[in-house]
Amino acid sequence: MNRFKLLVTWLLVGLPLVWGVARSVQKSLPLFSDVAAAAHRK
Amino acid sequence: MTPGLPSFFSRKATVAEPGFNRWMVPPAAIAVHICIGQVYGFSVFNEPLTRELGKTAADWTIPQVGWIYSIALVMLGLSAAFFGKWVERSGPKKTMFTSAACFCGGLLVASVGVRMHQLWLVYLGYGLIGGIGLGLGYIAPVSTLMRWFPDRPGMATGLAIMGFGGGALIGAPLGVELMNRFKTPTNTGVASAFMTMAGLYAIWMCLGALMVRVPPLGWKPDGWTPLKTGRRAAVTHNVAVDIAWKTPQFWLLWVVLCMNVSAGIGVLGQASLMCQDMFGVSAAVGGGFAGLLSIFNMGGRFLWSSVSDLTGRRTVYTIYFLLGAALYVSIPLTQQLGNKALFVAVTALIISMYGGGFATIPAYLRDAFGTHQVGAIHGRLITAWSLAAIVGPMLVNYISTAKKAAGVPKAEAYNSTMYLMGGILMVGLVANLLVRPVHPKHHLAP
Repeated sequence: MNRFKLLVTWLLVGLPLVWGVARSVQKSLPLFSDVAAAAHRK
Repeated sequence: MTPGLPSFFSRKATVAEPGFNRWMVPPAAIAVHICIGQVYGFSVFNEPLTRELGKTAADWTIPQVGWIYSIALVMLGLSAAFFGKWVERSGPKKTMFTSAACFCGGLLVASVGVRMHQLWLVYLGYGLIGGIGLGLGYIAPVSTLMRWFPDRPGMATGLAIMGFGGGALIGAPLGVELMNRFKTPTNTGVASAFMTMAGLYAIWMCLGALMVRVPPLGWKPDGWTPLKTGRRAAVTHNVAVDIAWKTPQFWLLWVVLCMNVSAGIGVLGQASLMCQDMFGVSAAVGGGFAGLLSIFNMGGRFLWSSVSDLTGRRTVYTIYFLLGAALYVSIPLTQQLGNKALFVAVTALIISMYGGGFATIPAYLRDAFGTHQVGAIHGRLITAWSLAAIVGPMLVNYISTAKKAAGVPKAEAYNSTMYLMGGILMVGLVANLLVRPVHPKHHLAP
């Protein structure tokens, strides 16, 4: 029961954080494609 | 008020029952910090707030709207400094509930202000009342976490303060999603977004407040034997906040935090524009760069503060300052080489150390002053952040704008600022190296 409670508690904060990080990664994708394209041009 | 109410909120009622798992406490702290960290993502509301009336002359301007965020940050620093002793006396549960009431109540008042188009109500709501909630929520779990994790105080506070960094990653896209959901051809959706956020954040913050527990007096982790000497020696002395802030150690640490934040915040605030100017990339790529830095800002808070538990606080700050200065002065070189990937790697590392500086300072204070009133001492030290939040961005903006006006190519307009940031970190390094243990005459009687 204690372990379950602990898991739920961490999920409570972990899921929003993962959502936020995923949105940030999504936002940063243009940067990666730009850097990759620059490397390819070289 | 019912007679049972005070005991529910009291510190006594928050003492953990036998068998309580200490790993339940960090998520309680993170729950509060990811909500109040929304303030970092407030800028998504700025532009919509300037067209609440449909772009008429009566609409608010960007500088007017910008004051909402500034008032909130100033109130964060002031409330943390002034209410620190009350926070220590009242315990984390009462403080977290008060923080939730202020922050979410402030969002509600701001929502009414937007609906009635009364800017002063938005200043009062989000800025003043919400700002008090920010300060209380920021320092509420600090001393509790360090008492639960005497073996890993840096990691413990790093987790909570990482939540504050993560709050921006959640708050900004959440604000945009909510505005999109509520907007109509005649309504930007800001007021409804504020109201919904108040409800959501109230749930999370109250859950955090309900979950938090303080350890019984004299508690220590199973199998942990406090070391008597060395970098990881247990802290046995305590210094009262009213004495602590008069010691040179407090002011040296104030300078340490101020210099570390000034350098980092200047770059973070201008990241997108800097990337566009230096490498000629599009606004979308610049925005992507800013997004990536936010992740490093959050991750660095946990990583570097955990490292400080192994190396000691002074060593880790020496790394921030020395490595940070070297990286700052190398930024112009990455531009000359046209190496965008190297530029991204260098700035990401810089920002990770900026976040690390925030997260490591509570443990540094605990090493110097003990855990007795460390939350209150931390609260007073946060005024360094308030000053840095003004100085850092001002330096980057002012110098780069002046250089551009003087005819320096955009790509090179940031060079002198980067050298200056390196210099600022050197001031921090000197302050850090001057930190010595507090004189025993200041210690409280055991």
